[in-house]
Amino acid sequence: MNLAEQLKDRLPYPFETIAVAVTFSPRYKAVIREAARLSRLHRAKLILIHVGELTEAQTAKLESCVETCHIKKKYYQIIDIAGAVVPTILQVCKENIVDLLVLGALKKETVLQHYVGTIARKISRKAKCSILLIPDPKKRPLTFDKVVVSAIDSAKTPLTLATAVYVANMEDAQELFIVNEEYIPMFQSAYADCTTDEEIESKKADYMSECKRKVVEVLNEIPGASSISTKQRVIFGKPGHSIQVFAKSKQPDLLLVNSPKKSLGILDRLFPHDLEYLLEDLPCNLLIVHSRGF
Amino acid sequence: MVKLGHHDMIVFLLGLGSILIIARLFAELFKQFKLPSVLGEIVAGVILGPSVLGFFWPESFEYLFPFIAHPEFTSTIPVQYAMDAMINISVIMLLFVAGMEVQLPLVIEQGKVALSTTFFSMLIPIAVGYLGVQLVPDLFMVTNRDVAIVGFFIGVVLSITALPVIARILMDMKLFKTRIGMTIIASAMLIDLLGWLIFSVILSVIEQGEEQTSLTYTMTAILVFGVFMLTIGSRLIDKSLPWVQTKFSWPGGVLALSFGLCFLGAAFTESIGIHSILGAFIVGIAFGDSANLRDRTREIIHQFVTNVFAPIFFVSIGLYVNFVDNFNFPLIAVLLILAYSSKILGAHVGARIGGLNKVDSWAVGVAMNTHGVLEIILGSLAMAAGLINEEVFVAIVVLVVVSIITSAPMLKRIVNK
Repeated sequence: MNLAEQLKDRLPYPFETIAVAVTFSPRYKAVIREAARLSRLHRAKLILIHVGELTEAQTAKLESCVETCHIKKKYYQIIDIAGAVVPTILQVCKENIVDLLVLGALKKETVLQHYVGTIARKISRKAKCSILLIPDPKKRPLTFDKVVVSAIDSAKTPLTLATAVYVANMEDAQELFIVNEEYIPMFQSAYADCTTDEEIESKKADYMSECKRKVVEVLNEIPGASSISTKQRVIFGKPGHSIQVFAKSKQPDLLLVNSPKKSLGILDRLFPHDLEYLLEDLPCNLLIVHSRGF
Repeated sequence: MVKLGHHDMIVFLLGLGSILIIARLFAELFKQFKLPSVLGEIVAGVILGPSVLGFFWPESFEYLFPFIAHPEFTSTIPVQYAMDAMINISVIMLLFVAGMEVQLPLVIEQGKVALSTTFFSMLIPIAVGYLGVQLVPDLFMVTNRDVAIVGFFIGVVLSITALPVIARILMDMKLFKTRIGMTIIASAMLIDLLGWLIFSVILSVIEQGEEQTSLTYTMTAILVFGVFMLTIGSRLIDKSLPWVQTKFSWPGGVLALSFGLCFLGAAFTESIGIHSILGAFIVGIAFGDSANLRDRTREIIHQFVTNVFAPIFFVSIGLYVNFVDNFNFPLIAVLLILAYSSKILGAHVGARIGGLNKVDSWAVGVAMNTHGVLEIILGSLAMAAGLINEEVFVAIVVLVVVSIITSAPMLKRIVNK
């Protein structure tokens, strides 16, 4: 079977193969430990990707780091490969059908970094698999107790919601917030000149209940959704920005969002795409769910 | 310093007060019939102006608006200046608010279908408008020298879609978030931007005539200004807004910043030979694009402009133009035929090429043929620049009214099929 056939009809979950991009930065051990925790939790194969040839000493360091996380040698693999960093990592993920790529990332980008692009962000903009960005990796990783998922009005959202339910169940999360990000840029101008405040509020309330109803319909179709404590919120504002503000105030352990429809370019940074607001300043661990073969 | 005299102040304030109160009454009346308040405001102007009040009760008209009834009297000149300044400020603010509705990321997200719909729903109406004026120049009362430019202008008027009007129709019909809805909104936004750019170039050409160097300088300057404001400028505004909204008194701080930037942008474009409205419009886009602009702030700016400044402009249309004398039925009929055929067909073709199915493409075509406030502003500015006469302007206003009344029922008919 070729790659396309293997990916056809494949859901974004379960995470059977988890990869982690490795550099020997001061935080590399913490990033590997985060990936190893997920690998154990999901019983997934772990792939450590290093771009550039590893010395024996470096390989030993990586092996020792993984093994301290109680992962046996047969359950992980180290791939060192030469090439340009971003395309090489993406290629390895593609060839190994990686379900989740874990990356350590800066919490905030400077203006220059935002436009030039750091490695983690560049991968997030182009990846064809789900990406987990960890701005603050812990030496003793914690479970994701509080999970937030963005339920923006998009064809990709049902799969992202299903992934959120899957992750929340696997993590035994205490709370799953399902947040409808609603953006109606013309609302004020459409209704401002000829309706009273009460009418506008009533229209907004109708709109919010309609949004919640749609999400409940989707949730009812997702297996395992009833076994977790879910809370629904409807927030108004620019998608990406409004969920970032929400996440900053709620401080969840994990935020899940849809992957972009296409690879993001410089135009999407000049006229910001939803995801760019999150990439510019990560409010917490961010899981960008790629809808794979769908 | 030249000041308005005691009597001038009374005349000015009397006129302004009457305009605002009568406009509100008519706006509320039109609301009862589910029509946009702007139509009520235009009708208020027609009733207060030479068409009705000036015709049936000329003494009352002269008492309320002596500066309109007798513009030739030197004693009315200071009030004429004051009123002209008020109307200009109103138009600048209206364009600023119109710019705030344009969301370029939304246009980019819609991609091919929005671009294709925009392209054809501008190209075909502009071509039809241009050819229409070439074929019947007498009907549009243009001299041979102006035929091309008037044709181009009429084409631009036919190509523009009224964003707030169609947004409301789509929201009421629960179509706003659908693919049809997003295509219409994204295309209408892009058309707004391109339409104003083209119109500003037309005005610039009229004012600068054959001066090629000056025109090249103007075009380069506006391009640099536009690119700067829509990229770096909008990011700077976005970054400064959280600080302004928390450190300054609210909403005073952000209102001062927004209108201050609006007037500076308007002053800049005016100084480079492009009408001030384009500067206000571009600053509006940069400002409205900010994710940090609170919904409440947006609402306050909108309320302030639509309820105080917009009525001054829309009532003034009826005050200065005699709608009865300038009602030219053949011209109106031709304009309506050109508008309906070209815009519906153009948007339909664009949406179809962009990937929508046949029914959805007709829905996009019909919805895009909704004209509104911006066409009236375009018309009044063109009339002030001497590009069109009052009869053509009245025909544009009638086109706007008819399209607003007909677009919702037509769209419902197609969608319910």
